[in-house]
Amino acid sequence: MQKLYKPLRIAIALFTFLSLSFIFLDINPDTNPLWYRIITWWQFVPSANNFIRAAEFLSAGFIVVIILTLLFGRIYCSMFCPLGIFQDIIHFFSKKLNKKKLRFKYAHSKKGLRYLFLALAVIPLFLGSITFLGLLDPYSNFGRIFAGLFKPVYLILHNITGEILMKMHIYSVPSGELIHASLKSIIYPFIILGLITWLSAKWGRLYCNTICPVGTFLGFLSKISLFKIKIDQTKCIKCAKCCNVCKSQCIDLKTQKIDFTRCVGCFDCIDKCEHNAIGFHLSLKKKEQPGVKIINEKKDIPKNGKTDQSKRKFFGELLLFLFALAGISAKNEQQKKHQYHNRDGYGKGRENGKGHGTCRIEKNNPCSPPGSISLKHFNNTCTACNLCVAACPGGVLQPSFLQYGLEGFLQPYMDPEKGYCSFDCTKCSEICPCGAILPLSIEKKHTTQIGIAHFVIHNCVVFREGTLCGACAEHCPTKAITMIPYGKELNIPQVDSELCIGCGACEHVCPADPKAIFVEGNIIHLAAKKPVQKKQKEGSLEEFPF
Amino acid sequence: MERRNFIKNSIGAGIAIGFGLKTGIAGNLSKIKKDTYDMVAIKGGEAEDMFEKGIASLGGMKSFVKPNQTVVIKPNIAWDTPPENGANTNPKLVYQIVKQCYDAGAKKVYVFDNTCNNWQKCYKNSGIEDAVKKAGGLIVTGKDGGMYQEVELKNAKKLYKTKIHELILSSDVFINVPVLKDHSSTTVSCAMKNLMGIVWDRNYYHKNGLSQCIADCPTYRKPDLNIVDAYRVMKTNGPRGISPDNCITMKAQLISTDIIAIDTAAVQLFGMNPVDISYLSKGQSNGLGTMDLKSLNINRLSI
Repeated sequence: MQKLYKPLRIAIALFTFLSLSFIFLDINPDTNPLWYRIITWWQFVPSANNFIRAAEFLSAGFIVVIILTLLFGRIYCSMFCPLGIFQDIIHFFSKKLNKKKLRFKYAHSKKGLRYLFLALAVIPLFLGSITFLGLLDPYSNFGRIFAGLFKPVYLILHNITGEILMKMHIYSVPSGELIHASLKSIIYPFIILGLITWLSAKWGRLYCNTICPVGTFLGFLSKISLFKIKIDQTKCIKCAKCCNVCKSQCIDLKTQKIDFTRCVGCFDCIDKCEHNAIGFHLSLKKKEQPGVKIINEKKDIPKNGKTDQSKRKFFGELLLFLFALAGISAKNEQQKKHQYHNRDGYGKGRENGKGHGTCRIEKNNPCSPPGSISLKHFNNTCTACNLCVAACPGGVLQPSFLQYGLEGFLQPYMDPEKGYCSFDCTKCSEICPCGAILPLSIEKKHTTQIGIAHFVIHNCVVFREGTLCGACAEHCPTKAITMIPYGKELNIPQVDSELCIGCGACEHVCPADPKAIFVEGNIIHLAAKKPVQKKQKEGSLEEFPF
Repeated sequence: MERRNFIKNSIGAGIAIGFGLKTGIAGNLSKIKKDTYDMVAIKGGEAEDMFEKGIASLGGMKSFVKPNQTVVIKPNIAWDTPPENGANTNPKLVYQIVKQCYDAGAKKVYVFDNTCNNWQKCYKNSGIEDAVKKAGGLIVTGKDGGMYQEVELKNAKKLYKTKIHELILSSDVFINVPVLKDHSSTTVSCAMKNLMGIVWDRNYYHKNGLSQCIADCPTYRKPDLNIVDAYRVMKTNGPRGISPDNCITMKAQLISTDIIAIDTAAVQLFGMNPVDISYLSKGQSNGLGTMDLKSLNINRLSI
């Protein structure tokens, strides 16, 4: 029975990993949004966030996770956390590739660092910023790695397949449009990918037991969990086989105790033990045990004065990096504020070398996706998992760098350079797991104004070249842009800001460089006027006019 | 001598004609003489019925599609809107055309458009993807840059070079199936404007004189057949439209090989003066066809 735990864990983990990979890599715009909600329902941080901040009671997945943890310990980390499973996979392959066998030894808990990172993630929450939680959250990191780094690679492979088939005149694998995020915005996921690859190849689950705030929090809970992994001292022969496979490095053979706060419930040790000395057992009289354990550990700490120096140095540097990042962001924020003064670049006719008399465009605020209520709500709720970026059929949602400033670091924003918001699409609002983008009916979406288009006549092709254009008006789904007569034969766009919903189609298709029309984000989303349509007079054709 | 010769020749000719009639060659000849229409205009029926009747009066689909040929059909699928909005070609008409191509012996019938909105959504919500698949046709993406090949347009005045979808370059028969509708920039959108969806870089048009580029594009390859869908005609808020209220149900259709003539007639159906549509005269001077409908033999049918 006990030996079945590991295969069961692997089966569930693979299912979680594959389903999550699927939603992040999927390129079909018609995938049912319900799948996204079901697959992400378990994810701790998004679900808790959605439940608490957006009062979405259906997203109670985190309560189930808490109950599971109280029953069985941190099995979440091995079965439902995609980043944890990803590390296990990396670890598995690095073991296969390395000829020298990697053996783990018991290591002391890095309590100071664990609490520091937990505090770093949680304290800003009370000050209204979710940025650090988002940066440390394992699910969001997994999402950023998959959406930002793996999806483009997947798409390239997909397109190559399509291309080969196309050569044979088979058009059944249509290639997807490769819209990749800006380089700046994938630096962070790239660093995290490098970090977890290195940490997991060398030290198993060190990330989970040092940096991950979810791991630390669930570790707290697992102190009082009903079932625990324990060593039967009468059976144990101290062969250290369990120790050698323990990715959490939490089995102390000297005392024959397990630091259950760090155990991720992979059951490798149970699988490895030939004497059935280690097992998953009910632990009822455990009220005193956590206390005992803590005392033990406290005793241990001073003994081991020179723990891994390189590791310590590394984490020091990591912290420095995070603070530096905060510093850069803050500085950028200041610069952004400075830009506020010379806003509306239009009308001034500043030259920028690109063309005579064109106006440079400076935006004060990006647009946040429809359903996100306001920039404030969005910035305070989004953990930047980038699921919406991966799913957006229009490619308009892109991870930001500092477009929102520090409080929105890496959060998705509407980038009209890359695409525009499809009028009849509410996908992001249907799939957002953390309540940053709230569900929106299609009717409501049609009148949700996330920004307003501004027309810059000095950049317009009609004004500059004297030829017909009107690409903006063609694409405008609400006809907020109409073409009004201009000169003898031409017409020129005019924006009715009451009808504009800020979808960015006009800006995306505008052929002028710099753009002659651009969308300025609304700080609070407003309701646009619904375009009223007069019914056309019906009249069938009596006679051909020619 | 002369009389004898005359009699000889007449007898010879008579035999030849008689023989011809018997074998059907002259039958065809005489038919062409009697019924060669430059354009067919049909009104009053469903889109698919109008097409059936109209194409029959041009000698049926088999006079355009020969057995074992590949056909590419370019409807308007530019917008992610339902069929009743009239922004895209009527799916029933597309179904009927694909079917008739296969009935005429076509090997493969491809359908594509370089859409404005997300292509999968456009294909699906326009109803055209389903219609094409139902008729056995092959729906192909128009949003894959790798499928477009650069060509030179020697007779062009603005669009000297552009990338055109490989199906247009490789297919034996090219059928253009626009929908007649209002257009915010060019006033009316129809057959010539529809061909903007066979080139990759639409923005080049907007940057370099929209009307001239529209008139230049067909100089590379004129469609072998144009079928104008004027069943639902969007009268305002074009080219995308906002609701079905923007359309009238005109129940008309035009079929012609002359892209300028068909556009001229379509513009008149729409209720505009062809002289006001600048790409028409530009197209005529590019030698694409004639705007003079009086010089043409038009078959007017109603159902």
